[in-house]
Amino acid sequence: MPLKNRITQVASDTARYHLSIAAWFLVVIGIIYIVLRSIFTTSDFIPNGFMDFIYRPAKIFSLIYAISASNSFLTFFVRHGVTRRDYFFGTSIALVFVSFTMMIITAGIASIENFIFPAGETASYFESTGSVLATIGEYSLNIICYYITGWLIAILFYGFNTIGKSLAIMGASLIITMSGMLWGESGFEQNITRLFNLHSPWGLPMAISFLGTLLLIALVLWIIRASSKNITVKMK
Amino acid sequence: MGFETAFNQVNVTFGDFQALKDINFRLEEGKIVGLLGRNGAGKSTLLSLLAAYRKPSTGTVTIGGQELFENPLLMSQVTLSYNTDYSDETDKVKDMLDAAASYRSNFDRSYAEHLAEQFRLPLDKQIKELSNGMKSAVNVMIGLASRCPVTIFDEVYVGMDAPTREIFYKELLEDHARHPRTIILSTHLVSEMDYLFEEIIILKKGRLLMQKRSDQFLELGLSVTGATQAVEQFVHGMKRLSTRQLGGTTSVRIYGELSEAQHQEARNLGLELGNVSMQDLFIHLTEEEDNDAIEK
Repeated sequence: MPLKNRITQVASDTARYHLSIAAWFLVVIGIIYIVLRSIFTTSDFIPNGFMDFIYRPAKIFSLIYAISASNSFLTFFVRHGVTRRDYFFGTSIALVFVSFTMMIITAGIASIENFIFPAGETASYFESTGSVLATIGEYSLNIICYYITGWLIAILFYGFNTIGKSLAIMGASLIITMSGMLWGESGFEQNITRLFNLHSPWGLPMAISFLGTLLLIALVLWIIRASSKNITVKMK
Repeated sequence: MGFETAFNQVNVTFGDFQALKDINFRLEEGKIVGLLGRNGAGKSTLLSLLAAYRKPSTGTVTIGGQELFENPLLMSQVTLSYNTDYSDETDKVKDMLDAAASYRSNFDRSYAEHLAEQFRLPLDKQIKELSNGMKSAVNVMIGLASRCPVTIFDEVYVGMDAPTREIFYKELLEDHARHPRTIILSTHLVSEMDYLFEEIIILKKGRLLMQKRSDQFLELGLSVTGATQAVEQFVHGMKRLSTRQLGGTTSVRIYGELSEAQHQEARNLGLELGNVSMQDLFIHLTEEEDNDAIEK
């Protein structure tokens, strides 16, 4: 394969592997969801249907997957003569692709659910096409945030000393908190409202949330690239 | 594109510890090179630089005159095989061949399958289920079949039994003859592998102690055998590596080259001169505490 296609090759191989694991995740969560829905008939337990149900586990899945898989892929690719740069860009493309694919598949399943159990029983985001797309975008970007948080932890734990590892933990907490705050999910919003004695409840325009999340993702990716561009690959 | 490999003023430090110090050497392409050194001499660190696994703290590693680190054209032409931990690896042997084939442009699938047959490797078995020797054989198979212009084996024989190691050496020589390329072998099995080396590099305590052609290296020592009294008289004042005595006959291994006059004297005394093994010379050179001079 020509070397100019190396990033594509890394992206394709990484995405294929990641999707194969994600497929199992979707199946397992899907089964749990069906069981829970058949036990708890009230919408209080699962207020917004499958898409909402899978959102939080999907974030945790992405975080854990990135922590456990990132360094194995780094070793694998460098061992096969791929540069760290190509690994970084290939992995970045793959994670965006997989995150959106997961949420699009989830939205597809949720729409079938919505067809069988019409709105009110399931999700409010099926009110309009724009609402569905915005939800897919929001959930996908947040999953990306969790993935790159895991990636950052993996890289800093792999290539750096105790200070780097401490920074990884602090940085990860900060990223998760910031991404949560951008979407009103972190729980800090109320504290900030109280601290600054704000009268209106916390709420950012969706455009600001999207833009803020994109900037946060760009910043974290930049840190990952800076931390990994000269990283030593361990012979083990 | 040429593949002459060069280390230029290379240093590697880990905190306060200097693992490699002022390493300078060049390797012509196409040779089989033995990299020798005692434990902790810096062999694996040097090889990790040559495979772009790490960046030198200072200095440069070049191939064909271009810096290697993060160079996509060059990194794809270097392969490093080492004793890998496959305990978590769920892939089958054939999956690993597929992966290597997709990333290595010169990978020869049929040769890989030939090697698998030679090493009796089950392609459909998960690699983590293989014995240590078979895992090493997988590394050898991928390393040789990748046919990279710079192919490195770092103590890759770990766990292999003697017949399997023999197959490895035989295949290495035959494949090198068919597809000449730079092959670097780092090893502690000096006596077993010395016939493979066209050139040797010796590291000692992170420094380059010596780089020589194998034949020139072997000329650095010789054995003197004969009647004990004559041998002792002849080797008096010479650097002695070892002494063996059986009855009235003594064999002394010495370090250093003999002049023509000394050759004549040995003949006059009825002494027999022979070669010293690479291993004996290596042990001597790396044991001597005060023998740190760089010799090239």
